[in-house]
Amino acid sequence: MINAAIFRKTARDHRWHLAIALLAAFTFPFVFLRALASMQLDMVVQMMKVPFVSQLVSILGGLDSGVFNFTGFAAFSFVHPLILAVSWAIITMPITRVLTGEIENGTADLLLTLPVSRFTVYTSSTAFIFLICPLLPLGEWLGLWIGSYTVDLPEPIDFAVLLPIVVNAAAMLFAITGIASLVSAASERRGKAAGVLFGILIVSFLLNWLVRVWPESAPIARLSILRYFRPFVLIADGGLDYSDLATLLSLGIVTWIAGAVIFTRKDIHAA
Amino acid sequence: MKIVSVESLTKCYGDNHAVDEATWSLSQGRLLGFLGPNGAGKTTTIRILLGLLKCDSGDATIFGMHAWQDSVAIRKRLGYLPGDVRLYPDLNGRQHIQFAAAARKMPDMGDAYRLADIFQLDLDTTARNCSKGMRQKIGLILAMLHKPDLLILDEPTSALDPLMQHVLYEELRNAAKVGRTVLFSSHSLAEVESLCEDVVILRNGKVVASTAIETLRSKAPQRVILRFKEHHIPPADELPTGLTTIRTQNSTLHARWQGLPRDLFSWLATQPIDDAVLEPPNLEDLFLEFYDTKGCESKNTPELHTSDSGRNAP
Repeated sequence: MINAAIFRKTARDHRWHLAIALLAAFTFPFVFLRALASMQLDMVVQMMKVPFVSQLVSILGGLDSGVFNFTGFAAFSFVHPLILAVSWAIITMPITRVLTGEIENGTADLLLTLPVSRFTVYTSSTAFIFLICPLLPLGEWLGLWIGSYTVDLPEPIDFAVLLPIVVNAAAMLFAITGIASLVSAASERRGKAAGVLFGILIVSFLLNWLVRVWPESAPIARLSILRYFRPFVLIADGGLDYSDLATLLSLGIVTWIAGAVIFTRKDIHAA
Repeated sequence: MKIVSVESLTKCYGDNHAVDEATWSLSQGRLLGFLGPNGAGKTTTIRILLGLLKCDSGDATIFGMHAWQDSVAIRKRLGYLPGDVRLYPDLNGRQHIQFAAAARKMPDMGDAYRLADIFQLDLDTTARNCSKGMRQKIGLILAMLHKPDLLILDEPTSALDPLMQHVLYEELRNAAKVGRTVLFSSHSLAEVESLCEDVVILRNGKVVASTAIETLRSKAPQRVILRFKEHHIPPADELPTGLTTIRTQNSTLHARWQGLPRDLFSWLATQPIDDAVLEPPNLEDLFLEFYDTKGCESKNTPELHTSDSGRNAP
């Protein structure tokens, strides 16, 4: 099911991207926490009352009121737009490269004329990306944890409360990997696949925003992936939301399988 | 034993028939030239054989197995060189070989280092810095390292210098001697003529010839140069059947003769001729006729299928 040589090649091709992404995932919360610690807690609370900031945080965090303790603020580093963009890019970039990119660059002729089934090529190429899914949020959690030792915090962070967010974030990246595999398998051009995936991120964000300003759009907002990643809800509830988790994992599995079906049946044209 | 068998193979892109009811076969140990102009359907046919494209109708089998359904089993015994070799830019030749050998689960590097040696290839240059010729050599090594029973080469010599072309020809001849089979796609008649025993010619997706090179040669027209006395060149309707005018110049007629020489000589005996030159059979002219798309609709367009060669070669 997995060809070791293809898996190793994929890992080798993307080792630097992964290293940079992990460094970013680790460094960003570290810096974020230091910036947060340099401000008075009252000041942060006041800032949260600014409508734009409040709305952005609630769109990304999934809860209107926010969680106005320091752990809640720290959790915002998991949904900061920069982190979301980096996570999204680190998943979609290699997936589009190993599936659509191989066809576009013509190296698929080399790969797909080896005595390896297309399904094995698909699994071997995407397996490495699935492994990245838990590493990125874990890196962020580690950045917060180590960062907390380097600054004087106004109140301690409850890192156990942040662990469900790590699991939820990993599930979201799992779903994105599945979707990226499907889009990439169905596309002929890498740029087009990347564009579609970026569009999905933007639409997800807009749907989350829409439901805040127009609550009647809630049924449509269920189509947004970000709808199932709500760190502030997890903090408020004090545990995992298994429904969100199941939705994300199912989405990842179903789209990945759909991608496999398409990839194993599609015509591979000359580059 | 038939290694490749193609029966009524058809592949369409919209209204365009890239491959149209193509039927031909290739027997073990033979070197088959796969000829045709750009867009004739060579690459599409090859990609169907490799299991990269699914045909719309007809059958393509290799080693008696279905080209699409059994493609993994087929590819264990098959080597392929694409027309335009694309490699991973960050890997060097050695790493490409190691990757291919590992993906094929080979215990060693097979024939790779011997081939690198005879192709005089530096394996430590990354693909990004390789010339087209070097990439072509790496592609050839990747196609041949596991000593495949069937080699499919799509214009393999396009980037090789003449010396390396001969090295490759020798390698392919040796492969055929030990029972391996070669499908050699090319634009070049001269190349196919010097290397291959059988030929399949495609035009507009259709097979217009599937025969042995020798058979083809016997059917090829001969160029004739006739110098008539006192500008007495007969009009076209007085020329014998089989003699086609290419051009006239003063009292000289340049023509093509397709038929038995004695028939031409009989006619010449009745003509006021000063001089006559009959050149050896010219495959080039026959190929140009095959390639000529204008002739596609003409009833005179030649088609050649014989049972003693590529189609049913021993």
